[in-house]
Amino acid sequence: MTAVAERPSAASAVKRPEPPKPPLANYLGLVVIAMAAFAFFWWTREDTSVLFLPLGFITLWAPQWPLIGFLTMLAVLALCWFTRTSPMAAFGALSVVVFSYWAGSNIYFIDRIIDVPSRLTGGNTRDQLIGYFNPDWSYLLFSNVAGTSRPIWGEWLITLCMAVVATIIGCFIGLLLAMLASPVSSFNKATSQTVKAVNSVVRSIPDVGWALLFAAFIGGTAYGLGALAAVLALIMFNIGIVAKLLGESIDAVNPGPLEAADATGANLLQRDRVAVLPAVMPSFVSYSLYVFELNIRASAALGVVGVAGIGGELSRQIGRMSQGYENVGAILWALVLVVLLVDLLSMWIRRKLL
Amino acid sequence: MSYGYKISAGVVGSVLVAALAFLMTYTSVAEASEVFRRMMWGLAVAATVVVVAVAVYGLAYLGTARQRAEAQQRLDSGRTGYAPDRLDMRPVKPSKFWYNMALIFVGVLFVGSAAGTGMSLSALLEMPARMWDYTVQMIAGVAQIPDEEARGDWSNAFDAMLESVAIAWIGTIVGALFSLPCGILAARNMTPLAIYLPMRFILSVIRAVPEIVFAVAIFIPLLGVGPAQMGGAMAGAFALGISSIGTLSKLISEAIEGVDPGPLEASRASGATHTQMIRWAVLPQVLPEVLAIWLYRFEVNIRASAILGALGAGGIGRLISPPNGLFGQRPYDWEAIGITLFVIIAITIVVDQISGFVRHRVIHGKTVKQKKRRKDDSDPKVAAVPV
Repeated sequence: MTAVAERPSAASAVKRPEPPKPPLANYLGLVVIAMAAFAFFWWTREDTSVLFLPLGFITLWAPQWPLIGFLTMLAVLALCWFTRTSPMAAFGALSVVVFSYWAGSNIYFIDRIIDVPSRLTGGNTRDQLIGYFNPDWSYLLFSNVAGTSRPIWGEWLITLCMAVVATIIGCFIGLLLAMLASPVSSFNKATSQTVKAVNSVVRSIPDVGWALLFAAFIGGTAYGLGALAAVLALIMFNIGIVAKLLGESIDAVNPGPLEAADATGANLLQRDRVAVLPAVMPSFVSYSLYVFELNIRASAALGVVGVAGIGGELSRQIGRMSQGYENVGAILWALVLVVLLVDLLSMWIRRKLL
Repeated sequence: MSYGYKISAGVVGSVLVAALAFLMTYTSVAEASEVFRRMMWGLAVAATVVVVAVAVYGLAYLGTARQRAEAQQRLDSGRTGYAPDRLDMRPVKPSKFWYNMALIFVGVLFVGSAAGTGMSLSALLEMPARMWDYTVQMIAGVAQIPDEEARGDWSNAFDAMLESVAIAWIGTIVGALFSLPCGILAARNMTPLAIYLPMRFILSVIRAVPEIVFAVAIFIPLLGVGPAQMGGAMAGAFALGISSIGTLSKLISEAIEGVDPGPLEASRASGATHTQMIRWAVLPQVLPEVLAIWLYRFEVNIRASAILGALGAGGIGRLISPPNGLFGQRPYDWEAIGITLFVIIAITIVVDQISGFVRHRVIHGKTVKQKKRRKDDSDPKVAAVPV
């Protein structure tokens, strides 16, 4: 056989082919980038305002030990060089290191880690942890919200109700927007681009931001108003998520039924109704259930900004400091339980439907 | 082909639901909780509406009794006259009974819970005027030439938002470090069942715990609360990191389970150990996808860090949330709020775009450039022109 005859002899087979070395010039460029980052970190190593924009001072927080960061960067580059990584991947690794270094020093990573043992021995950390892990269940089941005759478990009901209302309204508006946002089902390119841009703005404001905004727009967070603010905030939150995810699934819809609908002379609405909607219905249901789970989690946190539901009670108990640890623990454990139950429920529905 | 029993079952069932809900409003549970009482009232009203609707439908159905009888007779009588047999009939529509029931259920649930939240919808009437007023003030705040105060606002907003980005980044790094091993251990084709099952269980527990629980119960006591110097930012970062392990590992394990088995078999056949197999056969296949998953989680974490900030972990949430933040002051400083929202939107969108670009590049490679080159090849005249 020719293939066997052409096989190289054993002596030359020992010598393995070497992977090509990456170009040195690119790596030198990366070293220059590392030096620039080092210069930047050195310049900002103290907590000073360094970058003056016409808008105002922007404080770029100082890494405490710029030299260590520089050595780390060089080490990463050397490692990449010896493992023959391509310059682009090496650039990725370098930027990850630089960005982590900046972020870590920005939030005092090392200081806080070093501080943990002393916090554990002194201060009220132990009390807090003990309180959280010994929840006071009788508070959760039998107490009322302070100063009212509303029981705590009723707050859970409000939270669930808010999540249900927000999910149903938000998902339907989200469905409409997703239809408009995808070029497959939208009127024209301009509409879909506009809707996409609006949607990315809606999505980029966090749910806490929406809750605070709506609380201000409504004019207070009294009992009925707080629930309204929370529901409106959750609706905006849901619209963002559903329109994004569902818009992407509409983009990826099977073109066959679309062409069939076009060929039979369907107009846009008819085409969306018979070709697009049935195709994305399973993912719509699945996203709605996902969003419902998110809403339960989010509404617990939204209470912090003063809206109704269990979150309001949670933030009140957190505000009570040392008297409230067991109660906070009870609410948090119950939150885990409720989220788990909702997870199981939605998994069951998903399996039934899809 | 008779719907009679279904309709009567619907009527009876919803009458029962309505009656039950109505009776529930007189129990001691309803006396204890306003919410529960309102929910039950909502349920009773909604179920009554359903009763009426289904009853109307049933009456209409009864009205067609004669026609149905005639049709049945025609079918039964065989040859006399035109009697369509099964081949002549249009295909039978699949039953929509459960679909309709599900819709009715969702409607009833909606009415019941809308009543249960106790929203005072009258406030919606005044909202548009206020909204317009405040929005104009916010836009004016963003569009003005910044004076001393506005500069302070811009600077605060940038600081807090960059801190949020830092929190999200460190959270993602923490999550990424843990999630790759966890993902490998939770992939069925990589691990024996004895490790796989407990790993799956641990991951689903982590996924079920909301990140505010991690933040409040574990990391704020351990790492501190408040501004970054006091450790609030670190608490937020670790809460995000630990809670993202669950989702990240699940996605990564799914990616690993969907890997092409060819290289695995080849490496096993050439005598690779398990570690070598993972290094040379699995990682090269899944790494682009894993990177994309991590970057996606970074985007999610930026948004999530805001809500943790409201609880005392640092970042943009601390800047905006009461009692000390922008929304805690009265009267509201709408110009500062507008500037802050603008910064939030701008930085979030910029980070999304960058991360989306990198994700696309990592997954699809240099598709854009290749397309251009192909065009050049097909048209030598264009290629001759220096671009």
